[in-house]
Amino acid sequence: MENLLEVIDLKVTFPTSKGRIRAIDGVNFKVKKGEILGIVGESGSGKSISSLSIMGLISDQGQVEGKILFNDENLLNKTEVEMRKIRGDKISMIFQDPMSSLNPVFTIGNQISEAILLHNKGVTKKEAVEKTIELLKLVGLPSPEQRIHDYPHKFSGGMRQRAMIAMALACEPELLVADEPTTALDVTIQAQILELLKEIQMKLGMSIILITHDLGVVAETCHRVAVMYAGHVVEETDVYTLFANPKHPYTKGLINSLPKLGSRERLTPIQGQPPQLYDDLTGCRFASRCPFVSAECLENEQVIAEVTKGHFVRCHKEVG
Amino acid sequence: MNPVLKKQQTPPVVDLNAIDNIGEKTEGFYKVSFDKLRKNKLAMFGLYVILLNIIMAVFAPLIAPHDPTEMFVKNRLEAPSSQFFMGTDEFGRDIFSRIIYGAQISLKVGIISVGIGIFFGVFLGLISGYFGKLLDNVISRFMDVLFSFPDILLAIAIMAVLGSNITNVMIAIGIVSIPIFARITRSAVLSVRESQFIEAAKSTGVKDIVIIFRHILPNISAPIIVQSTLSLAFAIIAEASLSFLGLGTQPPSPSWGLMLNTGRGFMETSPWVAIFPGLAIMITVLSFNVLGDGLRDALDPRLKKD
Repeated sequence: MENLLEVIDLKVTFPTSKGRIRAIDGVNFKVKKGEILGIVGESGSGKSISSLSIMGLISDQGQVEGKILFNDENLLNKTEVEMRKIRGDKISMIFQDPMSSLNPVFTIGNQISEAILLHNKGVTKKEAVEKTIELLKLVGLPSPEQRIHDYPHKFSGGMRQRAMIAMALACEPELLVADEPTTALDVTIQAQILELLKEIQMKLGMSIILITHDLGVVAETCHRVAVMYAGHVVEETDVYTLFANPKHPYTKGLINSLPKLGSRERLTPIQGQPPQLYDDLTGCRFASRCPFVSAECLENEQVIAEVTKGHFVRCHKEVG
Repeated sequence: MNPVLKKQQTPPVVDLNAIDNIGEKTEGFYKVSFDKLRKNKLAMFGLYVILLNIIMAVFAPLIAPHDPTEMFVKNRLEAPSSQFFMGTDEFGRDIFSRIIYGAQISLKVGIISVGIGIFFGVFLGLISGYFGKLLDNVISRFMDVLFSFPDILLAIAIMAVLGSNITNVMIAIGIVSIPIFARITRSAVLSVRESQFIEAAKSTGVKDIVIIFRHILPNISAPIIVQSTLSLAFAIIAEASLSFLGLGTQPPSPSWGLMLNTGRGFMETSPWVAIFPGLAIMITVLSFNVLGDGLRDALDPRLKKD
């Protein structure tokens, strides 16, 4: 399969009063056409910053380096005007909290048709409304003909997230970035939304980047997974390999700390805290929490390398 | 057509006319707020007085028993009677008629000067709040400078530069009311700007200018509406004060402030010359203030009590 998006050596730094924070430090990943890539990691590992850099929505203080190739064009070289044409049309995004990502003063129909009118010149309002209704049907919202007149406060969380997905699909994007789309929803709705995303992905053949901290979500939905830790991708592989044969100690730790149905054993958490991402970090960033740490880990930073075909790991032990 | 839809096997036919007829639109924010306002008796009283004022101003020629500048020389300084409801002034002009015509001046000055204040203040507040940084600093510091003058003093200074006539009164009061609108708008923009729906709008490729006016402005209309009613009250007082000081509207126009000033000289012998215009100012300003307070309660979703 062809690569739709290729992130090469992406670095994002933010100045703070204590020095530069390296929020993302040399991240590489690829999204193939028609693939769902999961990005997992804990808070502050750089998941959201990665997605915002793809959208070009990093705030002005942040410095972005590296390459983000989308259909072989580097998005980081685009001007703001060019990016605006890509956003919503070629790449669109769904956000974590559906309760606050719809504008409370417009009706649902109004907001979705705005996205349609914005990127399709020559579409009449009536056509846009018609399309909005179709989209809402596609995402499984009941009786969309009435619902387009409703304001967001009348929608439940799951319905709002469906409306947000409809809005993101308005221009049939090639890439959908879903930043923790199910975190704010309860478990049954979560399952429905994930099912919907999978279904739509199959129907429309687009690619999805699914950002989450929930390994269960990854297992259910994604084709491939990138595990992020402290601004690095520490392991990248297909979803089966990740759960069957995790290589990086952090991934192993994550999987060990998941509860298993029927098991009465105590969970093993990963001890300690992730490091502060200032400039003076040396060695492996997971070293302070790693049970297999050696002198080498503290001195040299390991680069990510392929251990078996399609399985990338950033660890001295595994790569040698 | 959107290729998304073509891929579906059976595109359902949608009758758009039927959709329009489904009607039963959701109760909007303003309808809900107005229902809340209706329960506030004091605010509704204010609203009625203001409506009465507007009717008085619009239909002044029909309501007023006399021409406001007509002098009944024989009836100078006459006490209230059936012919002159509020008495006459030192030239024998009917005070009741003058107060009715005076409402035109007060409302005109109020609306136009607050209009100036809203237009420039909201615009400056929107761009300084949204873009921030240097632009925000320049605009906000300039507003701080304007704020540091006492309102009336600043208005007097502007009048002194522009010269005294009614147009300049409106400009002066308008300029004085810019900073409060700019500041209120800016702070409201700052809180809305960080909302996720603004980021969502950006992620669908909406331009900054559209985000500012279409997505942010409607979300911050409530504090601006409340401030407008309070600023209207201020504008009416300011016009009366300027006229009282001889800087505003010039005789013989029936400005309430001007009438109050001339009445001052006859307080002991003919108090009605000063009392009625004073009452007119007081009631109108009070009405705007109670309406403003009521609106603030009605438009604030956090103050929901059923």
